Amino acid sequence: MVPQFTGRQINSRVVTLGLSSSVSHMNTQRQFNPLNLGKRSGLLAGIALAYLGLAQEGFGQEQDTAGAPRVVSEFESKLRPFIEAHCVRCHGPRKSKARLRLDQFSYDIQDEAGAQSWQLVLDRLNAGEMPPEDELQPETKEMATAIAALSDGLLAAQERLAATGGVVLRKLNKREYENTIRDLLGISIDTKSLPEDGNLGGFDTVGAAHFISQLHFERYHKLARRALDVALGVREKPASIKVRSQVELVRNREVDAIELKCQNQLKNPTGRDRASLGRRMYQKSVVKGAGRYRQLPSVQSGAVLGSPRTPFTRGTKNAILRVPLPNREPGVYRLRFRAGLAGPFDGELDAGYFMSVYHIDGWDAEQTLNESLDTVKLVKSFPEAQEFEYRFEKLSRSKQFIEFQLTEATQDLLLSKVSRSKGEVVTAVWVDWVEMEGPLVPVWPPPVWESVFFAGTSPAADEELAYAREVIRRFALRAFRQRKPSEEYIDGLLGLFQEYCLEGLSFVDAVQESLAIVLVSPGFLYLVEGDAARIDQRELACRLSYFLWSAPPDEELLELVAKGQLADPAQLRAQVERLLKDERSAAFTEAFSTQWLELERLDMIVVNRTFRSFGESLRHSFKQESVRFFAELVRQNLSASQFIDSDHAMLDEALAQHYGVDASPMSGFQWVKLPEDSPRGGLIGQGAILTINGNGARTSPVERGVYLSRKLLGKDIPPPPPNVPQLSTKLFITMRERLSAHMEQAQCASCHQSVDPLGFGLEHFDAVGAWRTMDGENEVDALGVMPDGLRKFNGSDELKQHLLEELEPMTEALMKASLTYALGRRIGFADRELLAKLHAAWKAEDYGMRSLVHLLVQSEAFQAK
Amino acid sequence: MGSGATLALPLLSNSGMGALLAGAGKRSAPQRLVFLNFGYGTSESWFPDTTGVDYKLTEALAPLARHRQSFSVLGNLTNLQSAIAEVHWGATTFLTSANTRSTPGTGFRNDISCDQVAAQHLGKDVRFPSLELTGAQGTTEGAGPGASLAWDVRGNSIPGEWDHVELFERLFGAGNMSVAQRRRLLKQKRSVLDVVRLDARDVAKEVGGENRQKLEEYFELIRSIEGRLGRDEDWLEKPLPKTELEQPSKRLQGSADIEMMFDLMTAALQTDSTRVITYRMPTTTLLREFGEETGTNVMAHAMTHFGHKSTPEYRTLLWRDKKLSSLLASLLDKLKAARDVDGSSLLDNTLIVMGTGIRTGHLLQNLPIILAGHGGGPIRHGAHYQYASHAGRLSNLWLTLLQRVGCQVNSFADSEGPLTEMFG
Repeated sequence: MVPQFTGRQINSRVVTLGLSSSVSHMNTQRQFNPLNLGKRSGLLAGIALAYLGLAQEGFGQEQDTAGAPRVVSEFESKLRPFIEAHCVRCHGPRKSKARLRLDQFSYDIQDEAGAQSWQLVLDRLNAGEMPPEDELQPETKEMATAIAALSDGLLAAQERLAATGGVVLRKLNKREYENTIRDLLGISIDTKSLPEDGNLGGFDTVGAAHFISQLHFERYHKLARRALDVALGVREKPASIKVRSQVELVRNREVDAIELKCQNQLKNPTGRDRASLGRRMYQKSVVKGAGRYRQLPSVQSGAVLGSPRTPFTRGTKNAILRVPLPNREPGVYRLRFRAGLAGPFDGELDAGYFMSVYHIDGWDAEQTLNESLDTVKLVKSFPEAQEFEYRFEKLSRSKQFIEFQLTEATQDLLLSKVSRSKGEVVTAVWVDWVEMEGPLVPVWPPPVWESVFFAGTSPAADEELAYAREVIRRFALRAFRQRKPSEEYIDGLLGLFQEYCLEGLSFVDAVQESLAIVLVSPGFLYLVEGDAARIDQRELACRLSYFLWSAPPDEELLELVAKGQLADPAQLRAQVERLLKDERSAAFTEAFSTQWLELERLDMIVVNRTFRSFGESLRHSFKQESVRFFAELVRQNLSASQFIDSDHAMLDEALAQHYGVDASPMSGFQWVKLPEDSPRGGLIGQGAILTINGNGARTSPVERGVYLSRKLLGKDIPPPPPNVPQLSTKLFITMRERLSAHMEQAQCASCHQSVDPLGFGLEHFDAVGAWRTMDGENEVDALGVMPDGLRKFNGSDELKQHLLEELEPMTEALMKASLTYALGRRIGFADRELLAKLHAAWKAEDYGMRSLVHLLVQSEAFQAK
Repeated sequence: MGSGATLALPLLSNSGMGALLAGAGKRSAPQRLVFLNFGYGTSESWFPDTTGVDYKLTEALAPLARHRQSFSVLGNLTNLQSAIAEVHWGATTFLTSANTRSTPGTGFRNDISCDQVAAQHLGKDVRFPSLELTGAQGTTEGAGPGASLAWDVRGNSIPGEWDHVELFERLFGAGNMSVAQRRRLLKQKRSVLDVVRLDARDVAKEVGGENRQKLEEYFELIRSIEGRLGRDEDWLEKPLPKTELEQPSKRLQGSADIEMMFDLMTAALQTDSTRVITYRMPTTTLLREFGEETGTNVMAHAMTHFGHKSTPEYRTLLWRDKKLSSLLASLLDKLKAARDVDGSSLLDNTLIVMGTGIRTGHLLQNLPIILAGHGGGPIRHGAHYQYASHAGRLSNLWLTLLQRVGCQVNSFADSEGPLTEMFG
């Protein structure tokens, strides 16, 4: 018997689990509460009844389709036996407790009401409320099977029922906004003041997740005014200056200050000082350290970091040098500095002394390492040194610093030498000087100036209005990505211009204020597309450039649009190649890989201090590794199977060291051929992936298993159910013991049995991705089994072999993710044919990552609405 | 109390509780609501074992001891409709009590939060109908979707302010403009909205039906700014209030961040700039403080998923439980010290809720909720109220608070009726 929701349309309020208060209120009036779903169910019973009571009305008529041959789904075959054995006796034709008849529930979930009904059953099972305690209890395994079937079935149903439809009007996300402003005005801005983008389906390009509010509008306006001011506000060519900071002053001041403080404390001890021998010893050691520091030869002309012979007993202070730079206008600057080892040295220069360099910009500098410029390897010894040169961009008008920070591994190395050096050999890092030059202005007046004020900034009085109008109109056209602004709107802006003039603003300032309004108009903030079924060429250019550059179309694309040639498949192909070769395509490879692989989680991981090799620079390298690996697959059109296993890896010196890969000295990142026996290669061996799926202290086979399942097996895992009682709070010794608790409870086992064993395969990698053979006092236990429960493996190499056996689900999931990103909408059940077609085509091209981009752009969906 | 009971309160609230309590002719103090929320849940040991007025404060609540007669612990309250949803959304439905899964397939929808309902009533006579503050940013704060605790009538998130400097400027102004200058500025802002509306109309004509709906958000924001400008015009003659608080100069973290927000909140209430405030407090930066103090670095999520009590996770959680109590105690100190217009203290005229939508781990029932302050008339504080499960809808509390401060509402979300035990 298959009940159907015929009769009348179910009022959505009824379906919505009492979303509006009137629905549930009505139910309380109807006194459903005497019914009880079970001992612990009181709390949730109300709402369950509220819904079910009404849904009952919806069931109303039934159609008996018995006799018709039908296919029994996996959902039904796994679930029905359980329902019939454990539920129907009370919720069936005889008793129908809670006015609930599970015998009438359809196993073919066709609509929201159907999904809701089963959802309630799942919720009761998860909460451990059903069957009631005084009834026969199902076996754990039986329960787990039922819960798994329900969870998976509902997940699939949710997907199927998802409203997909066309592309929803997309607002520029923060990245796109920043790039678009850069394209328009030739400057970079800091978008920190904008609210976070909404996020649906994991990508910031999905239009349905974007929203706009008062706060957005105010911040957009503020940013636009500031950006225009930076871009157009400088009327004279800024003088480029070159300033060299003698860093010894910075360091000596710090040394003097802490010495003076401790001297005073020694002279006039407080009660606390007297009471604590430790404090006195500390104070004395600081004074002694300051004396020793001043005797180092290298401190006469520079600052020394990481030496044990300093007054800084705390490692962090000793390992960091923050040099203030002159506070100059925003723009591009050149940074040079000279650094080496504070030697004379004991001949182990090759051991690897690393120092990270950051540019810190902005008033909240205490908290943010704004831009990591590099991690440098120091190979020369005092008085010899190397010179380094970088460019950085100053965004704000506030204070800025250059910060040098020894990597954790280097700090350890320096510490280890203390005992051996006995005073003669000085092991430390030395920074001689830091130099800033800029702003670098290659062209003057700046191109943006010419493009905005195309006929100068001082029009004749009688032409002023007409000229202002044309300046505004041209700017709006560019800002709107060649969508024509209406005359009425331009007139409105001109009206504002006149108001500003009346107020006493100069011509240029008044224009600038009017242009700021363009940048808060919907034509700029939204990627506007017309109502036609297919997109026109201008819209295609926008989709293409925002897909691959997160930025507006450039001249060449717009020319093709004007000639009407962009939609030609061969031309489109050539353009994709051109856009991907352009360095702006890093916007795509970085944003997509970061979001697909969830790399931003890496910033949130607090790594336990026991992992001495891990530091901010390694964190930075981890992220870069995964991003650059993705970019390299695209660049070389390598197969997506390399995400599972690859004989190459994208490494820098620090990663090679961390992974124990013997590689010749490198500068920056390189595509390195891995040794035969290396466990690296593919996502599984990447530090970022291993670290984010843990808590910075321990590995998490659960999180790793879920991640593997989602990314490499293409299977989503339902979120943990609410209100499952806490796992037992015993103290577990091994990870396996800890996780075996999951198997004791059916609600947990239903998912964990297919997830945890996958994660165990990676146990040879510790919480920060380094190789290990021991886990504490035990040998690493990396035995696992694939979700089918059949294919066993030991360690990641064997796991990879199994994963490579089923490329289809992984590539399908990746394809879906990239389609979501490219189209800016969720991909749902309605897209299954599109996906199948694209996937077949991709398979024929051996899952090449560059081919994937071409396929997406050439697809019907990319050019339809 | 039977579940069929609905409105227990007479329409006392009509005239406003504050007006009723203050003597005739004397300027009465306004009523205010403050909602504080934190990420993830507490430990089980947060909850008192005993109930009633003699309940024993747990160690976690001990820092609140000096305010014992100014707060109560409300036990056994649950957001029924969201107690079946995502397990790490401590803030998303906290004040909406909504069922976010109401339309499967669309993935997510929310409903108006009770602070916004309150703002419609309490916000009429003040510069800012409500203030939304947030310290929690990002996805690992145990807050869930949304950019603050507040959701508008369409179920859209209202982004919260996180920057102390911006907030200070909004509340107390940066420059000294003349009335004429301010008037001109307002007029100009209106013209700006008129112009962007022209483009919005052009866009609306071009895009299809579904997208026009999306664009409605933009029209909505124009309308809401216009509403605010209208309000600003009403306030034109009145200069922005002065405060003794100094303008914050730099971004703070952890408890310093929270304390500064508390200072600004107190100043905002004392100057009657607003009467409704929500604040989603930060979690990760607070824990960093514990890490610096003790060397124990635990991530926020792991904190409530401890195993044995000896784990660093559990110790972190215990520390956070206590920290939250001492932070709340400091807010109550500030409110108590601040004089209201009628000579009473701000604490006398404010109701403060602190809590979250997660009990601990993945449990979404029987939430940790504290109600403090004496706003809305006499409350029998100093007790641990344990609500019977059928009355234990959190929406009942929201309804109660709304009614106590004078909002004329009969129901909120899935509420059944106000909680009466604490009053009268």
